Order: sequence, then structure tokens, then C-alpha cells
Amino acid sequence: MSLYRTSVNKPVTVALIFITVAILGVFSLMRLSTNLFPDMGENTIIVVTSYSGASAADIETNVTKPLENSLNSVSNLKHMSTTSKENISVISLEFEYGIDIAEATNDVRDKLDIATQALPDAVSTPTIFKFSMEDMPIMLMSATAEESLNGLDKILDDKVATPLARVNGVGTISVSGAPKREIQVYVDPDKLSAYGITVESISSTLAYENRNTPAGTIDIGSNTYSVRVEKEFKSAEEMLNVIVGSYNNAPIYLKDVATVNDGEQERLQKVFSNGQQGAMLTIQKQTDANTVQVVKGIKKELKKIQKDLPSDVQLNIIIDGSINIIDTINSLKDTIMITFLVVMAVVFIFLGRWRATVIIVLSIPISLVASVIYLFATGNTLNIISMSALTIAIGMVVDDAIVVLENIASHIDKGAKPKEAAVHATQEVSISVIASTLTMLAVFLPLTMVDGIIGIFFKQLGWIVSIIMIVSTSAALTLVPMMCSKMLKQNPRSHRWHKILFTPINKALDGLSKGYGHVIAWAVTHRKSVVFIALAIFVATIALTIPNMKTEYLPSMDQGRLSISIELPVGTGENVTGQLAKELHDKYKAEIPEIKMLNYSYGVADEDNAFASMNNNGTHIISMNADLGRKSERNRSTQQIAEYIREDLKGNPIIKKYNVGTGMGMGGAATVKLEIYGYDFTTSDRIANALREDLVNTPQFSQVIVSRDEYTPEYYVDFDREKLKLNGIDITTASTMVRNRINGSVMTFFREDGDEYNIRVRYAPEFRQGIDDIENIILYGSQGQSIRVKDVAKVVEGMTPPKIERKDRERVVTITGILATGYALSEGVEVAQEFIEKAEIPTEFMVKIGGDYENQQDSFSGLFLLLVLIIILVYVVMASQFESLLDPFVIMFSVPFAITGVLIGLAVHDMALGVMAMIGILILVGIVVKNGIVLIDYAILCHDRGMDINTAVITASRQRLRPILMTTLTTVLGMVPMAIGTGEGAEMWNGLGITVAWGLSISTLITLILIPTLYAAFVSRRERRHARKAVKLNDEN
Amino acid sequence: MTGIFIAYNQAYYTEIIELLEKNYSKGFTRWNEISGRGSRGGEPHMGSHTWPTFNDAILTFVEDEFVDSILNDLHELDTKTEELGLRAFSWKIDKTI
Repeated sequence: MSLYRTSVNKPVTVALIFITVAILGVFSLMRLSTNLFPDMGENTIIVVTSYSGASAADIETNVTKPLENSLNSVSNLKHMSTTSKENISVISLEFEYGIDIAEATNDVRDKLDIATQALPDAVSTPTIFKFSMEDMPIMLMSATAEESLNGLDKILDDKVATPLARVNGVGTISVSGAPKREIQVYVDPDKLSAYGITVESISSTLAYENRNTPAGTIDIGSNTYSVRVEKEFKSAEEMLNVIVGSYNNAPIYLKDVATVNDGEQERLQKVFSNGQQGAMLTIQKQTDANTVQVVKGIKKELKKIQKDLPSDVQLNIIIDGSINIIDTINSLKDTIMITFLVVMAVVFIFLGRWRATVIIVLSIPISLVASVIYLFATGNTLNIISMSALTIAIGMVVDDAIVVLENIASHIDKGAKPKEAAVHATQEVSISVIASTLTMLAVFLPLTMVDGIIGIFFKQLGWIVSIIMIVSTSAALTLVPMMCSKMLKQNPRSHRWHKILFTPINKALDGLSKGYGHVIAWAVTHRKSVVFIALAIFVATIALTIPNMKTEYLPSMDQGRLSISIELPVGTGENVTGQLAKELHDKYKAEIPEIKMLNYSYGVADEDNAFASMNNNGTHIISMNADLGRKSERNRSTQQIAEYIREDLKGNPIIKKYNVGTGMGMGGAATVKLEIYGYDFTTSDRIANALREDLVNTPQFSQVIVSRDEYTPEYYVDFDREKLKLNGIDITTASTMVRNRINGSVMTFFREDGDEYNIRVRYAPEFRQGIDDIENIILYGSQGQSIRVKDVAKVVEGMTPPKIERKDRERVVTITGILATGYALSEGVEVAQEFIEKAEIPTEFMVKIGGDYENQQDSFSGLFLLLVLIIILVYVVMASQFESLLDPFVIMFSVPFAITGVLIGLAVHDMALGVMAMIGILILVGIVVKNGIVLIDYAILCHDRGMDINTAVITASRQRLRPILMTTLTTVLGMVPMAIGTGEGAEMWNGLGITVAWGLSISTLITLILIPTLYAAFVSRRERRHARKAVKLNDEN
Repeated sequence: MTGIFIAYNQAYYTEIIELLEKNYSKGFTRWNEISGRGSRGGEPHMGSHTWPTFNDAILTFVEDEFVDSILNDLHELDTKTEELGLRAFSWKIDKTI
């Protein structure tokens, strides 16, 4: 028994199978988590090696280069960038996306094992870190306090950070800006020298005096007692009475030479949120955790936490990484809903029967939820790519069902019983339904085989659409006939309103197909003109659009947040920086009403704050975070606001360098990176600065940054070894002494309530304020004699060379230009290329354009190759379906006009051709040939039934206009919500929607006329040739 | 006895079986999915791309008194849904075992 008869005869089984699929799908959907992009995994490994005391250049030659040489052979390596700075070499290995990072890590470790043997002895063992986009903070929170400000650090640590860290998926929580308690022992150097006491001796005395010691146990009678000495300091004041030395047999107490201040650390990153000082919590998630779920967990926990906090401590969210994701996915959900309704409306209008409409649109949810099962089973998420795939598919899934249902309906109209009609009609069209699905699979399955970042993106798209196609075809061949046999009726009664509604529609459609028939009748008799016009349209579009064609990589998304970093000249004091930060804050708050939350910080980050110390920080650096809220709630885009701020910062003379970022990772602003390769510092600096000047003054760029820092001023204490030796000390001892006096010596801790606080002994602040103070620092020789620094050293102001950056084993300086609003990547690249050509670049230097441009080139060439492969596959599938080489060749003429449509669409919307549009073109190849198949298939049928080719083509065109319009409209209108969507994140998929909608519309319009004409032309030529051959044969006989 | 050969569009199958049963004729022999075309017009049933439909054929031997009624019913079925295609032929049977 055939599949179709089985499904018609066993309605319960068929219905239950699809219901089961639906239930599993809904189950998966409920458990599916959401994210912005597919999981990209880790693709960067960072190797950190320290070699203390070595300068940047030493590090480069002795550590970085040998390691680079050996790491270069690691497989799948895309780029290797290194930074050599004082004491440290950082090598960052960038791999292709989608590789097994664990394997790469092992490979790196093996290579390092070999390389480390050749490194200098004092070099530490290299440390390996894995890094990915996922390590970006998911949430920034501010904590403000009034009375509790002093204890804020402890409150945040105990009551906020600790419970939050227990939330599932939370990785690291770093607190910055909370004043950290420290016991400062400020000594007076003059008094110390008078009594002959050193900072070191005070520090070690305090350490010896501050001790609890278990002294063992004793047995007294039948009991055992433990003996303890408990002499740790109970309070800071207690320390004042510690005897730190003696002078003329009189004890010298600490209070005689120093003051003790139970306060906070001197150098501290100060954090202000909406103008109020407080602390900032940076929350990172575990690599494989889901942002939305983690943030949800955090928020739930926060509600509980807020209750336990002192009433003046306020926690506010500065940046919530989940909002953008949730909004984006919601706007895609809306798009899917609208698309579904549009498709349903089209089907209803064309068929005019609600039962038929129900049967057809039922295949949409079933196939969509089936693909959700795939997402769930493979651990994927609902993200931009998977949701776009669902939207694309909606318009296409109904095609198969429509073909089957139309044929069943026509059998019923001829008089067959619905049950028999369902079986036989389905059987008749099954081959062509399967073939058209195969053409779609020929497009979408190759998408699953791409590698690199594009592969990660489009693997899901490929699988989802393929699965949807397969499920919808199965539904069309089983569920649809089964439901038709139950629901469709012979001679359905039509209501009065039905007539009122559908008579004009039917009349219009009939008129349309009649008119179209006339056009085709004209076209087949004026073949040359038709071909000429089509060719002219094609050439004209190419000629008009290609020269002005803009290209881009990925669209930048409006994420509603800004991260600004501002650098003042090195050495700018904290007070100046703070003043400027406050001014900027007040200004932006007043001038930019979109800002919901503005937070800024400046100063040196605490060493144990991993995240803050990884970022650039210092007394001269301000970093700001702004939350601009939802896109729908403001008039200006994040980009525009960023440009406003850039313009403002540009005009500020005391700002040396600034960076206004509009988002992190994927979907951030498009950048053009110029990489200047070459060894000599001065020459590369010259080239870099010249190019920077050029780029800054073009409208295409709103911000240009050179990666290499300038030489930074510093004070050197230049000891004279001989003089030191004469005093019996060496460089290490002398430098440690200098450090202990300025930075302080920490040898013991003050313990209270289970927490430890540093006890830091150092010169009082007033004794370390200028070069004189450094020169007057007193050191002690081996005999205890006091020496001033100026006697054994010179304090000179010098310049520290910048860190040395290398990429792919050569020194590099990178100029990063952020494109201004309205300019596409290609425009920026064009300008940059002009400047590079004009620039005087010595032969040993090379300037390369990298960044987004490199990625764009990589993905375009990959996608182009894929396009060729897809075209061949589609041709193969069609050729085997028609068992002819000519027919599919004619149909393939729809493809160039799809490209015409795309070009027109992009020009009309003033959009750049990016990866999304390229994907659209790939998809179009599969979709546009479908119309050709439907048309030519019927023309062949009519011709075989005895019509001459012209009549056959005209009849086929008239007959098939309705189904072609219907399937085209479902797909095009299904794409419109994607193309014109303005919701959160819509920038990302607009390009895809526009490409498919325009490409399919234009291609359909042209191919509806061109394809039948061409087919008629080819067939009549073939027939004339056959006829001539037959005549020739007859003559020979 | 009379033999009746019915060639019909396969969509008629259930209706013809019902029709025969109604006319007290139970036995039949059927050929499934066969091709054929008529001489008086109507669409051929070739199961090909051009003519996708198939025919079935039934050969049945019935008592003489039911023949007219069967043929009448078949004719009525055919005229009701002419586009599907249905033909029947009958002839006398000499002997049977």
C-alpha cells in the first residue's frame, strides 16, 4: 500500500505522529534558552610569560620571538598577535571559529614545553588562558551609600558578591571603587633617622608583635588544656604603643615616630554612578552559561539581597546584558507572528476556502516546532540566526502543501471522492514536490558545511531550513492528503458573504492571468525583443549599481550602551582627572537626554580586581559607561550619540586619546584597521601618525586610534653601583628600600571578624611629594649608616618606550578607524587605500588592511564559492528531475535576475552588500528557480499533450500564474516584516529581508516573461533541427 | 451469466465496489494501476508526466438479471462525473465451472 493511501486510511496514526512532533517541539521551545548569536565557543588562547626586570625590547627578543617561532606551527592558527612590555610578554593566538579549543590548547602546551627550554632561566613558566566573547561582563551594577560608605567594601563583599556568586552560571564578580580598609602607618622620616629606625624594622616589629600562637597542650589532672598566646592587635590604636626601638636606653614607641590611620587604601579607583560616589560590581558569567538565565537568576537574588542591606545602600543596574537579547528575540518573535498572519492571509485570499487555508497553514507551526526540537537536541539557542531561519522558512513551507492541496481540489472538482482524490492526487505531484524540496536542500545543506565564523552563523540556518523543508514535505505528503480526505467536500456550499468577498478577487485574478496570457502571446512572437529587453535591464542594473555599490561585513546593532575611555596625558593627577570626569558627566547628563544611567571611574584599579586591572587604568584614565535605554524610546541611535560625544571630546585640548565604543563583540561598530608592519619604531610611528591625520580629517571616520602608545615620562632612580657597594648594599636591597618608603611595606595583617586588612608602613604622604623627597629618602648601609638616595643615585626624568606589539611575527602598529554613521565599510576602505597609496612607505614596511575588511573578504570569497556550488547542485537536481539538460538551463536564467533585484533593492534602500545580503542571494538561488520549475513543468506537459510550443507556453503561463503568484507572495510578504522591521536588533536582519524580497520580486516579474519566451525559442529551435534531420534522413533513404 | 469489463479512473474504485455490491454481485477481479486511453476522447490515463492519472480495471461475471442495472448505474456514475473517465463492456458467457 502506498504511503499516501496508508496515511489517508490511518488518520489517527498520522494525526498522532504530527501531534507528538508538535508536543515535543513545544516542550523543547519552553526549555530553549535565548541568546543574541549562536554559541561561538572560544577561539583565542592567551599565553602570558613574565621575565622580571626585562625591558620591552628584551622581552621581545628573548621571550616573545622564540615563543612565536614555536607557536607558529600550531594547527588552525589564524593570527598571532603579541605584546611585549616591561616584564611581561602576552601572546594571543587567534584560531578559526568552530575548532576544538581543548585540542588547540594541548597543542599550544606541547609547543610551549619545547620552547621554554630555550628561554632564559629567569623566565617564568608561560601561563595559558582561554578567552572568548563570552567572557565579556554580562552586568554592571552600581552601589551607592551614604553613612555606610566606609564599610561598603565589606558589605558588598559579604552581602552582595558572595550570594550572587552562588547563582547558577555566575563566574567572577569584581567590586571596584569601594573604599578598601587598610591600616596606614605613616612614619616621619626625620624622626626615624634621628632614632636610627628603618621602615623595614617597624614593619617587621609590627609583624612580630601581631601574632596568635597555639602553644601546645598540657594535661592537668585528668583534663587536657590547650595553651595559646593571643596577642594580635585588637585595634589600630593598640599599635601606637608598640615599642619599635630604643634610643639611649629609652624605649621608642610607634606613636613617637608615626601616626596610625585606620582608613582606606590611598590609591583607589573612584567610581561615580549618576554623579554619586559608590562602587561598581562587574559580573562575568561562566563561559558556557546563558546570559539571559544568569541575569534572571541574579535579579531574583538581588531582590532578596536588597532586604538585607543597610537602608542607605542602593544597588542599581548600570548595564544589563540580557535586555538587548530579550528585546531582540522578542522583536523577532513579533516578526514571525506577523509573517505567519501575512502568509495565512495570502493563502486564504488565493484559495478562498477556509478549510483549505487551515490545512495549509497547519504545516507552518508543525514544521517550525520540529526544527525547534533540533535546536534543543543540539544544545543551541533561540538567537538571531535561528529565528531568522524560522522567518525565512514560513513563506516556503506552505508551497508543498499548496501544490498537493490544489491537485486534490482539482481532482475533487472533477468528481472524485475526497478520499480517493487525496490518495491519487498526492501521488501524482509527489515527485515534483520532492524535487522542489531537493532544490531547496541543494541550497541549504551546503550552508551547514561552511567553516569559520560564517560557518557557525549559518550552520544553524542551513539545518533549520533543511529540517523545516523535510518536515513540511512529509506533512504535505501525509498530513495534507489525510486532512483533505476528511475536510474537503465535493461541491462545497458557498455563503453569500463568501461570494461578495471572493467574486471580485477571482475576477481580478482571472483578468490578471488573461492579461498575462496576452503578454506571453506577444512575447513568444517577439522573442528577440524580449531577450534584448531582459538583457538590457540586466546590463543596465549592473552598470548603474555596481560602481556605486557599497559593501560591509556585518551590520552594526544599536545596543543602547556606550563605553567611553578617555586618556589624559600620563602623569595627570587624580584630582585633575576627577574634575574633568565630573565636568563631562554633568555636561553629558544635561545635553544628552537619552542617557538613563551614566557611570564613570578613574584612578588605579586594585590589583586583586581581575576585570578592572585587565582594562586600561591609571590616574590619568577615565572610563565611562552609559545606558541609553531601548532603541524604540529614543530618537537618536547609539551611533549618533557616540558621534556627538566623539565630536565633543575631539575639541577638548587636554584629552590625549579617547575611544567611544558602541557595543561589544559582534554587531559592534564597523572598523577599518590599518596594520603597519615593520621593525623601526620611528618610521612606523611616522607612517601611523601621518595616516591617522589623513583619516581623522575625512568624513568617513568618526574616530581614529593608533595602537602604539607614546613614550611615557617616568622618574628613574639611577643608582651608582660603586657607591652602593662602598656602603655595603646592592641594587636589590636599595631598590626594595625605596619601594618600601614610597609604596609601603606590608608584612602583617590586621584581623577583624574573619577579614584581613593590610598594615602598611610607609612615609607619610607629605614626605613623598616631589623629586626632592625621593632624593632625600634615607637608605641604610650594611653598617647601619644612613645614606640619602641623592648620595648614591641620580633621580632623573626619563621616557619609557611603549610596549612592542607584533602580529604574525612582525612588529605592527594598528590604526583603528570607526566608521561614521551612513558610511559603509567599503567607503572607509577606499579612502584608506587612497591614503596608503599616497603615503611614503619605505620598502621594508608594509601596510595591510585588516579587521572587519579582512573578515569581509574571507567570508565573501567563501560565500561566493558556496554560491557556485549551490548553482551547480540546483542545476543537477533540476536536470535529473526533468531528465533534460536544456530545460533546467532555461530555468537558471531566473538567477541573474534575482541578482538584478538584489542590486536594485540595495540601491533603493541605500544599503551595503554585507554577509547577510550574500546569504540572501544564496537562498534566492533556490527560491527563484521554483517559479521556473512550476511554469516549465506545465509547459512541457501541455506540449506533450499535443499543443504546439507557443500555445503550450501561453496556456502553461496562464494556468500557473496563480500558484506562482501565491507562492511568491507568501515568500515575499513573509520577508517584508524582516526587511522593514525597526525593532530591537532589526539592523541585523533587514539586509536579509530586503535581499530576498527584492530579488524574488524582480526575478519573478522578469522571469514570468523571459523564461516562457526563452523556453519557446529553445524548443522551436530544437524541433526545427529535428525536423531538418528527419528530412535529411528521408532524403538519404 | 454475463461478463462485464469495467475500465475506470482509479478514483472510482470504492464507488464501483459499492455499486456492484448494491447489485448483488460480489465477485470480481481487479487490475490495479494500469494505463489506457479511450477512443472517444477524454483524458488518457497513462501514469506518465503528461497524463499522470492511472486506470484500474475490474472484470466481473454477474447473473444476467443484474447486468442492465449495473450498466445503468455505471452510466449514471459516468455522466455525473464525466471528466474522470469510465467505460464498461459486457458479453455473454458460454460456460463456467
